[in-house]
Amino acid sequence: MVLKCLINVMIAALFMLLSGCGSHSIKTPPSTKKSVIPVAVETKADTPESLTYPNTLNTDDPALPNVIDATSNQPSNNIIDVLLQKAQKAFSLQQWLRAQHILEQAIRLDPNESKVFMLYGDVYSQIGVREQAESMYRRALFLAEEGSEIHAAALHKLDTISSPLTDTK
Amino acid sequence: MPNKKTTAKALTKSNKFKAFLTHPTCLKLYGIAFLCLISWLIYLDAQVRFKFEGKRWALPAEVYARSLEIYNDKPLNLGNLEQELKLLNFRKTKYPNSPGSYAIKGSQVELYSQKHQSSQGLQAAAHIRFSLQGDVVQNLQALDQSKLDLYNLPPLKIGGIYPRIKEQRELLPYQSFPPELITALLLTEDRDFKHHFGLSPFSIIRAAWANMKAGKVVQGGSTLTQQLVKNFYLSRERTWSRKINEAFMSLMLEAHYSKQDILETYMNDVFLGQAGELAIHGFGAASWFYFGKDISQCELQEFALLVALIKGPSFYNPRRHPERALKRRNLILSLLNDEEMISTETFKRLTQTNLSLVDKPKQHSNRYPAFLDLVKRQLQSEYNDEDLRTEGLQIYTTLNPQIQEQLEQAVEHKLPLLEQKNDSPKIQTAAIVTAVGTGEVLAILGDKHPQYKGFNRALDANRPIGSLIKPAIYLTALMQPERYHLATPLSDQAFRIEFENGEIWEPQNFDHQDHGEVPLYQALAHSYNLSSARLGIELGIEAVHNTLEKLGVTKKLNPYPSLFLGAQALTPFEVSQLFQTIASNGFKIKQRAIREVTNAQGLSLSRYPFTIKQEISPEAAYLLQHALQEVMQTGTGRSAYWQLPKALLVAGKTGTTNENRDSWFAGFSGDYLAVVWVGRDDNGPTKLTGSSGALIVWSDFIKRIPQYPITLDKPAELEYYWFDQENGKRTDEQCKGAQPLPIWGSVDHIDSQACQKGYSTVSGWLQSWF
Repeated sequence: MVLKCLINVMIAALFMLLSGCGSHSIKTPPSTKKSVIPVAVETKADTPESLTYPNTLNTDDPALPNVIDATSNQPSNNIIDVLLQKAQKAFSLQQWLRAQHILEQAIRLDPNESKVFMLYGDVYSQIGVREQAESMYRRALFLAEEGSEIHAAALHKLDTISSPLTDTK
Repeated sequence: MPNKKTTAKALTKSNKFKAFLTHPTCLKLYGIAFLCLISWLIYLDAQVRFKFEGKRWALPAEVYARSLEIYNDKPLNLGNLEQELKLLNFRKTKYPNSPGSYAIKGSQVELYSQKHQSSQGLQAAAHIRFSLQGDVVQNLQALDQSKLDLYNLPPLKIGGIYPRIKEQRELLPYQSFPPELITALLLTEDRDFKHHFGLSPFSIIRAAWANMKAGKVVQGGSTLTQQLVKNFYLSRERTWSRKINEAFMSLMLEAHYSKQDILETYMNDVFLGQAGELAIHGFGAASWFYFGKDISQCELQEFALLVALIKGPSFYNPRRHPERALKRRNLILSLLNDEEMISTETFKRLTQTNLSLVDKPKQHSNRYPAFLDLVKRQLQSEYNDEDLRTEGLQIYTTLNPQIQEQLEQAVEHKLPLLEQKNDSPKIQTAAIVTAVGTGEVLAILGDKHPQYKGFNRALDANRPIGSLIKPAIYLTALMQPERYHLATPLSDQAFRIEFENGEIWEPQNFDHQDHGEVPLYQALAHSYNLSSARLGIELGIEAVHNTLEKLGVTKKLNPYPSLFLGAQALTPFEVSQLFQTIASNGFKIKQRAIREVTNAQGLSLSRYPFTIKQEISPEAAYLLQHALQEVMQTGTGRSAYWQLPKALLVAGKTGTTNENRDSWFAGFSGDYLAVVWVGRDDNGPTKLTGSSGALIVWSDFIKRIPQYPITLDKPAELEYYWFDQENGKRTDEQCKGAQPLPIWGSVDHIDSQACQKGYSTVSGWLQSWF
């Protein structure tokens, strides 16, 4: 009896180790830029009775699209870096319109790059469009990985921009 | 010898005539005639100067699609690239050594692009090479060894906003016209141009003699200046008064302006062909029209053809009458040879060349009517109509021709099936596609026939949105984490409301059944009406109104509970703005169709920058997106995955109105948001729900384009917990029917339970022992 109990305990411990149970809270992957939600228990989708579909399409068909791997860079960081450098240069030369042009192109190529929004916030800040500057910093904050430099910088910018202006008279 | 009487009579007559001529009345008439002449000349002079110094031509606004951007690692399919190049009139050759040509060797693409303006400014002509490996651009390089990180292809011209008289013209300064073209022109049309004063008496006498001999007008003696006056100021009628005006005006033109000014105007004005309803004027536009390239890149035999066309663009139309055009072109070349401008060898060689015409460019003014309608509406609120039609504005838009093409194909492919299912050809549709990250409008369809120019349903069809309203109700709840979470049990029991005026509102579920208590996310996924209406009433109309406003709905909303079941009418464009905010994680990004407007010289007049505003907390937006993904995984949108691969995570919502009058679907992936409406213009009932109508078209469109799935960054404030799918209570991971749900804030107040239906795995069962 004791032996049976011991075996049960050992097997259970092994499974617990494998499945990592303990708390109800689920450990999600560390907040990477492209984290994916945990996979739900699959529920088979039933065909609604009133509908008939030509169910000839096989979702595993390689001809069917065209899903870009979310873990791949979206798109190349190189081009975003190049555009960021160009925008930085325009920014330092106070060519605000040119900087805006370049940053918008960068956003089109990768709308999830926090650095682009940070710089765009700076551009808006320089040309006095405070509301848009704040919005850009908020977007940067949203996109940046928590604990990253950009995250901290965005928080700082938001603190600065929302604090009342000091009287410099 | 004349007798005295006769002489005296003659003298009397002469004196009388003299007296008549010097009579004060006659003198007055002279004065009046002289004044008339002077006034007439002043009038002519004013006419000459006014038009020549003012706006010489009414230049239409030109509208362009987005430029295709090429850079390393860009996902790009060879078929799509070739389709784009074809639209841009690029020629496929073995060796692309002239602008506007390209070659494909295996996975290598070599492309020689023309100089062009784009929203990124002036782009120099470029000879580039890259490879397409696995539908991704690699090894992009400029063949002149210069550094190249990114190249914008010329933007496709998609239409124009034209004056009443539709003319196509590319204005060029004198220096842009190649000297060989000018030589050929002067040699053919007016050899004495540099020396005459507007009229050439010798040419007039020669022509008059020829005409007299023939008994009809067979030859003209007009100088180039006269031709310009005729085309620029006068009509083509052959009357003496017109001829006299022409002569005086030519003299005036020469007196006021330099030969260079006159020649430049002539070369920009001369009529050289017809493209449908558009008249092609000037060598600049004609070189694009016939050869698909800039005038500076044309060769001598091409200049000769352009000059040849002046005599009769229709008679010598090189596409319709190539033999006539070739003969006249060679005649021009022989003139050049006779005058020793070219050698005999060159002459022989050039006469052997073919006309090297490009296919007649498709006029895209009718190609994208719904999108152009959107662009015009936006512009008309900022520019006056006259300026739009005459100032040569360059309008750079966000249209993506490839996405538009796929949207049209999806409709063409699926709508006949829906019509068949509905036993009615009266089914109509409208759709709009935007970029999730930027709010740029990429494609619009205002009718099931994409080229139809009439009623634009995407912008003007105000239709009740049905269950598309529900995300706003559920979002209102999820914005209050202390009261609601995704698993909050909602009552899906029938109820009725009696209004003060005696009217009764008694909503029903689509399946006419109650579902007891259902978790909040399930109620949304299955689009239950009873629980949604109850939730809306619990939250209050004002709170839901506020949420709709935050999401971007600007229309005045109705204040009745029927709002909760989508009695509110919106256009597909407005629905798209609403879902844009949801897809952008709670950041409202204003949808826009125009990036920039410049004047004819490329100077920026208006920019439409990317604007963004955080309206919803990222936590609430995340929870709603999670629930909308559930719609697609297990709810009313699940049939989309019969067409889509499971790896493509998408979120969306179906919408159906009473008697299936409207079938809606709004959904998004990581890259694109698309809204589709299907219904009847006469508001008649259909057999289509949101799932069996609009979703079919939506899925067919989405499956056609490469894209990223939704990737949600979980805000730090949220944590995943396991819940029972049926009753929404917290449970264990190992329990059958358990599902992870993100929760914002504490879970202490949420009921939990042990596994009710057993375990999903053996390990779960074993663990339950402990």
